[in-house]
Amino acid sequence: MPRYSENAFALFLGCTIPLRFPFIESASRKAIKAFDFETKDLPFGCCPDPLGVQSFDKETWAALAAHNLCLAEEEDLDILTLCNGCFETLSVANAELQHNDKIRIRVNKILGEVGKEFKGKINVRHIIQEFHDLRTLIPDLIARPLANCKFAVHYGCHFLRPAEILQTDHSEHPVILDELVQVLQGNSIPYLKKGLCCGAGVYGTDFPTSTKIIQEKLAEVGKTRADAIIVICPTCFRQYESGQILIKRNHGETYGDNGREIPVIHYAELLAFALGFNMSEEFNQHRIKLSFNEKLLEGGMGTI
Amino acid sequence: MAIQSMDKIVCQIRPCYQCGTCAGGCPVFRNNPDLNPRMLIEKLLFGQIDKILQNQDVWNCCFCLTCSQHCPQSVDLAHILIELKNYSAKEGITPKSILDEMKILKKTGMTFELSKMVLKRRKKMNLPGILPPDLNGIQKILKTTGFDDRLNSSLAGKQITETSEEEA
Repeated sequence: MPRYSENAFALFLGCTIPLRFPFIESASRKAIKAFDFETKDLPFGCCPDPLGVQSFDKETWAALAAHNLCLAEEEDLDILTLCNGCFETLSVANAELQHNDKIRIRVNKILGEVGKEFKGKINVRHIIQEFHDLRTLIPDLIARPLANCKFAVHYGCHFLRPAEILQTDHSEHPVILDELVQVLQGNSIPYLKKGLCCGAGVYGTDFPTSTKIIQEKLAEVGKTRADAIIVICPTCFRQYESGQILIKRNHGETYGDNGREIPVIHYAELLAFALGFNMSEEFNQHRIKLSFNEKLLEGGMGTI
Repeated sequence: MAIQSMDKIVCQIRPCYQCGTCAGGCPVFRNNPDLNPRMLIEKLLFGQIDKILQNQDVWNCCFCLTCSQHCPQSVDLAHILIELKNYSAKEGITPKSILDEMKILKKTGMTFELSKMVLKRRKKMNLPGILPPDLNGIQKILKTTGFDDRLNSSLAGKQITETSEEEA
């Protein structure tokens, strides 16, 4: 999809990242600095959540998404998201409103109440797509190669599906994130059930099932002895990180080496780290402390 | 965009030939057989919508969209379930976790509230202040779409259940 705005984006932080995992925001802002594009903060509201709000009232979901899209349209900027949920909601709503006259007229009538009109002239991008487009520049920028590290990547459902609208990658055999890990000289390791959902969607409504799904995934990741799990979505992040802590507490199970949990990292953090930014505060705020930096320290890569 | 009629929903699932591909790929079904996507469609085809909406099974879909992507007949089950959840919410059957999220959305325009701890963490990393969303605009939209009324009646219904739980 061609960019509407050249080298500038409206940065869509969403709710979970700035209000719960601000270290992902900080890492993203740092990583963006290394590349030739600008971001602008706008007073966006909740995207809104593709599961909760859409399930409760689909029309509200579309209207609130359109409200956010209008804010970026007024600034003539494409939207850049850091979260799969925001990415899916804004992309799908954007497409539906662009192509379905009936829905657009209905939503614009609602938006008229607050003096806005959806025009449908901007695009929505995930930060991972942007990094992937810029991947040929990365090798020259790397300050800390991740050569000895093994990573298990998890894409997350709402980055890939509905594929016909999002068009990010093959919905069953995606490669974008694996390639981005390899660009940092890290090893993206294959594991079983890689394409399985993390189970966060039923965290609130069916917690036991949500736990069973993440246990299934963690068991497979554990077999590979990965140094960390790489995610690109704060909801997957929470599911993997809090999930492991709760499973340890409730079931006494751990999946990492020596009875430890497996660290979870958003790709933006990994990139910022590899690019040489000081990430000690960001990594310090993780509940599961990172172990792969021990390997890097042994290799003389310097402190984080 | 408003809730589709049940006839329209049934029309969309008519191509289903019950191969079970949806159930095979469903991350919830493999761990909780109560949510069987194939049988949900069967019930819908036979007009047993009341049976479906009686319990909270439809809310146990994790919306990974695997079923919709895999279906050889292009039945978009994940979004049909969204419609059914809209029906369910209209009837006042909404899980507490979703209602809690909706309450925060109405109050703040976001789905999380800023805690002191996170504010401290943001300061430690020199992050800029969070731009407050246009809460007036958002609340006006929630009123216009009928979200407010739906939330209020759902909460009134929920309070009854909560009291009875406490009594129990």
